[in-house]
Amino acid sequence: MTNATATVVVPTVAAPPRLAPSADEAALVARARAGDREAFGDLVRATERGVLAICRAMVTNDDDAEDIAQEAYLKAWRALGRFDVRRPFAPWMHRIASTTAIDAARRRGRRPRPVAIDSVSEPADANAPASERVWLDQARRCVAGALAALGADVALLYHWRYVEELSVEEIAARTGRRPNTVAVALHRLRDAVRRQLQRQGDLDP
Amino acid sequence: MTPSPPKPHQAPVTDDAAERALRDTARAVSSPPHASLADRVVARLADEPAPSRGARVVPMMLAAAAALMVVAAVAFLLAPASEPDRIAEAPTPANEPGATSMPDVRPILLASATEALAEPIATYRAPIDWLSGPVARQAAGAIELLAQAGAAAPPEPTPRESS
Repeated sequence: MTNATATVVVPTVAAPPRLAPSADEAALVARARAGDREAFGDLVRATERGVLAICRAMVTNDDDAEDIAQEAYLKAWRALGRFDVRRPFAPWMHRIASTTAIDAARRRGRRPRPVAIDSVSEPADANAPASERVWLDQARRCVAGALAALGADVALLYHWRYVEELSVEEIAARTGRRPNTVAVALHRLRDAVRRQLQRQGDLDP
Repeated sequence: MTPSPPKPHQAPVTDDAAERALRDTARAVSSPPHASLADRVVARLADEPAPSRGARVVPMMLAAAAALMVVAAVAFLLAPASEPDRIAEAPTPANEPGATSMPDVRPILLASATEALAEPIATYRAPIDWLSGPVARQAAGAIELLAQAGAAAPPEPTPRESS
């Protein structure tokens, strides 16, 4: 049996997590809080790639993901008065995106299901073999199903670990949790994905 | 003729396959958006009011008001049941002819407590639509408690000598 902590792979890119906002970001947040919509637009540009990645991971359809990302930004705008300006903007935005996407995914009842090749919406590589495209679509659906089941906190861990490629220790520093707690949560995520893949394989003819 | 895609997974699925699914998904979702979201978000913000900077203060005000209501309600409920009778029966100077009676503070308490809660709710109702959690429930409960107490309490204590 694989140990929970032993399966955590050392990241290839170790971008240190920011625990305080940059001066530019703090200025943008201050202007946005004062009602400057263009300043908020700049904050959107700075964070949209990560926010979209979170939404895409949970709803699999890219058009739906963009709608959810927009909704998340509108929520952030309305809640900007409650944002702690001493903290960086991106993790706060990621959390809003995560909860918004989880709610949307659960509302829509999206679950992993068998797919046909012509239903694969966004292949990472158009020249990839058909089997790879099927695998990628299946993987996305299984990850989405696992994230929807495990909730917004685990979805955030997933994003920081696999998309931003932060180490377990860096995530622990960002979240204020112990590294072992983060590692166990990631292990649970991996196990949930494994079970989703297992179920998917059993459903395949 | 291309071969049919292999069945992606034969049982049992390993942790390595799950790890690969997580990493492949991360790569797939990390591509940049087709067009920047910012312009669309900013366009939608045209219909939105500016963020409320007082929003952090409102819950604290409401919580304080709700706490005041609870204390006032408890004091209000306890006082009518025991205080008038005890005062009336006790051989204190208050019962002697010519002595001034203790004023009934309940109407004042009720009015001031209701006023204290009504003002922040009326003023900040619009920015606190999100506030449907425990603070709002606590405040609503306190108001209800006060209303019940006000309805149940006698308007004036009846002097024992008149009966």
